[in-house]
Amino acid sequence: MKELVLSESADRFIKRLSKLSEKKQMTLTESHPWDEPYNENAWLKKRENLSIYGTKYYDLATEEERIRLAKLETGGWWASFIALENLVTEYYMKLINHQSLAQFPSVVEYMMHFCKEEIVHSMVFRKAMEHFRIEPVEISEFIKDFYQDNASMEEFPLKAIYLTIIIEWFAENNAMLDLQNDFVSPLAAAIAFEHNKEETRHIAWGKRMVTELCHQVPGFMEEAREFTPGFLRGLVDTIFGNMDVLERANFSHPAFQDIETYFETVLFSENKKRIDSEIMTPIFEFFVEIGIYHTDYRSYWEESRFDEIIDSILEKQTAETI
Amino acid sequence: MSSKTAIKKLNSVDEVIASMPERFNPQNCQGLQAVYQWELSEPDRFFHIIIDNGTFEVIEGKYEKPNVTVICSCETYLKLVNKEVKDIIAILTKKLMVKGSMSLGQKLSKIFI
Repeated sequence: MKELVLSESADRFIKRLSKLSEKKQMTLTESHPWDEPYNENAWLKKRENLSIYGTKYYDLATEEERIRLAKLETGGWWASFIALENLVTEYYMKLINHQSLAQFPSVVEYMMHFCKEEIVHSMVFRKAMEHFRIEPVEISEFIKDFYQDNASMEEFPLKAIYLTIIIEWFAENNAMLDLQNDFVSPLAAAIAFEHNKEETRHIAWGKRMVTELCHQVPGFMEEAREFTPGFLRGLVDTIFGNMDVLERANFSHPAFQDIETYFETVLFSENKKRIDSEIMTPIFEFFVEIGIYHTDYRSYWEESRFDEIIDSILEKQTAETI
Repeated sequence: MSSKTAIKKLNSVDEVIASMPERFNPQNCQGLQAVYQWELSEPDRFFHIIIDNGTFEVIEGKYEKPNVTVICSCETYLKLVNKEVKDIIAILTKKLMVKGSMSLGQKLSKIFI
């Protein structure tokens, strides 16, 4: 493979991120209002972002069940963060130990900050689940398997960096969306906001790495164009529709017993479409900008039901050009 | 979608396999070499398909290291093939698991329509 090159401006940018990480990092004990008393009836996300909102299931659920669902859905996201952040730390530390990125010392230095931050994040999420008395939530096999199946040690790890960043970006957008409401517990909101401060840097780093190297790593663009829409669709739907969450929400109305109809209704609702759009639009703008979205691969976006979001971005860009 | 998709309902795994030549799209797998495996249960049935640059071969039994593995019951497999259940619903209800390369997994629906 031809030697990869990182531009001087990218190198400077990454060094600046390291400096910012050194300056201020989240701590397990100091960064959050852990003294908030436990309140069984606290909302951990805004009700409009409940998976059942806007469907008949919302009307069939009691208020107590909706609060429990909000707690479990937030717990599901936190559990997914814990799993992902543990996997990414393990994988990135392996890359550092194998010296796979030794040609880019600034990248290695930032990855060490990145890993330290991820370790603290997963400890914070564990502590939050204990605080809100949420038993571990079973997460999708899809998330657990993806590193094992798709993050290789043999090749240059751009694909793993790319996958990590889009997952973090998508999860961050969702977390920030969930908490834009005065009724949400201040502790739950602080967990999301503090996490977001560091993840913003992680995402900026990942975007820069992908932008710099996507045309240099052989085959990356073609593969990313093929798998990105389906991967994101799988991710958003498997986190949104969690069987463990549904079972533990323990809805009393018999309509919730027909699980297939329930998931079909919830995943294909107008509200889910709105949430998808709000979460994905900033990410897809980046895909359009760097060419991950390409008209030759449009059918993949259509099959993944993301074509409307893409079209609205393209229309907006055209309007701005005119 | 092409008119090929308007095929009759398939009632057994053998019928699905027999329908593959008709549903195969060689133009969508030019230059591709990959092995897709199905691990079906109730009753157990294992087979894999070797895709080699616009051709395919179905072989009974397990392949040691397939690129993509589809795991489900025969009943779920038939429902998926006949489009009676969406793959995401089957995954969420733990009736379907797909392991392996994401990009190759994505191609499957374009290779066999």
